[in-house]
Amino acid sequence: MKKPLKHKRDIGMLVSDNIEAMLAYWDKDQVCRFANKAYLNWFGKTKEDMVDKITMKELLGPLYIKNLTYITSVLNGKPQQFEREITTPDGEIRQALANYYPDFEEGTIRGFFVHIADITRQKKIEEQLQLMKVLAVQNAQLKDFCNIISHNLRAPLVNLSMISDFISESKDLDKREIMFTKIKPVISTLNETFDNLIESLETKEEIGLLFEKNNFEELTKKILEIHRIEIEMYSANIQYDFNEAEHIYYPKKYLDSILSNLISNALKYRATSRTPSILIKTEMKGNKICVKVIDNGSGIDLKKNKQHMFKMRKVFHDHPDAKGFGLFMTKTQVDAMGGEISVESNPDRGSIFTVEFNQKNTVI
Amino acid sequence: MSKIKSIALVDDDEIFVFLTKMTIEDSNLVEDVKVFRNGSEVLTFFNENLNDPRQLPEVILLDIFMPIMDGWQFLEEYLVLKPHINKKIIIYLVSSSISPQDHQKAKKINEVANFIIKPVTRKNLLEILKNL
Repeated sequence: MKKPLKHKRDIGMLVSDNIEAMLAYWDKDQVCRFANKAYLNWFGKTKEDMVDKITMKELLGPLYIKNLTYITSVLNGKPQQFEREITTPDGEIRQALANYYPDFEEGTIRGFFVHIADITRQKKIEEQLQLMKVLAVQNAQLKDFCNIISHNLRAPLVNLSMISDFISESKDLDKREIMFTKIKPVISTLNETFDNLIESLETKEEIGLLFEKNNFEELTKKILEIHRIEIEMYSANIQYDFNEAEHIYYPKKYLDSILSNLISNALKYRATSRTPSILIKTEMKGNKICVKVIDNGSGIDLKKNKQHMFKMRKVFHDHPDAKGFGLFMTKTQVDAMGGEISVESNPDRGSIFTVEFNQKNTVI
Repeated sequence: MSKIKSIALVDDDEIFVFLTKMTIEDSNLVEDVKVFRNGSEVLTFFNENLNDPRQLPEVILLDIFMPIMDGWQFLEEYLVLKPHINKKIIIYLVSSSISPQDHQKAKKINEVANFIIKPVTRKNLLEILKNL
């Protein structure tokens, strides 16, 4: 024969005092009317200190101001959820996920229910995941870097060593003369590759940069002015639309460099058979700012070249000025600030380059 | 003394091409050297001369990193073209890359006889001649 159930109220107390979750009830005057064992323990208080006695303000102290908007909102009938870092009475720092639920009775708010979950462990796991992501990216970058060194620096060195051998082994004065003239361009390439590598390394290192408020229209106008002669020569039709996002908080020199490179490329790789038409605009993707540079130029065959995009010294057009550094630098600068760059393109149909900035750059 | 009839040098590095061409000419082991700046150029040449195999090279010295069509991309296209080529052509992958991944990748391709790390020397040419 089953034992009779304890009184409903007692079962409720029994259950609520034996779970990890913190539960409480506060009335519309913000006086505590119920707190389970976990809740009491969290704040280091006894039932006598809390129930029917303490107000939210007294309990939370300096934390009250921070929670006030949520308290006010739930007392207006809207459920609330937020994360909060709390220091327990023993001085330990823990992460909490708080839920407030309004208590409606016949159309009026009588108070609100509180459920707090300790998510310290989950947060730690989240942090480790983030760290692993960052490490994975850095690993990939290091691999890339090693490949670059292994090839791009070695190639000119091989040439120099061949030139040196020819000079020392040849008795033909004319031949030696020619060899001497070949030295300079090789050293020039070596210097350029080296400088670009150092610059990209410095970019990755420069985390403590000065963030400034940049106005897209001002910056774009400046860049277009620099390219004025080219623009006039090609009769390029350039438009911009920054209605969706007029400003961005970003290191000025990077933003300048990123936009400059994209606009410069759009002009450089124009289709010779038609008037270049370029549109520069900002878009909001959720709460992230994106910049798009859209052109009607020669485009890129992405089916063939997708994996080579943004890599150093990968060039897809037979253009005298195509050296293969620009997009590599741009990507380094975008990546360093936690953003993303992508491209859509079709041969002879133009390209759309999109830079998605980290949401921390959004100006409020 | 026998010679290599013709070599195709496929590389975008002008200085390297200049120096290697000189090495080849000085060696007296090769009759004719043709230069192509990237995979796309040499592929076009092949397509244009499919019916005249005498024009096609005996040996290809193929660089890996080139614009427009790199060494790996050329090899893919070459495999498609191969059944239509009435000539035995030996391909050597030439690169300043000392990356083991590149070497491994080259080993897996049957068409590639060997991997030469730049520079291309007279000794390399003698080896190539021997293996013809």
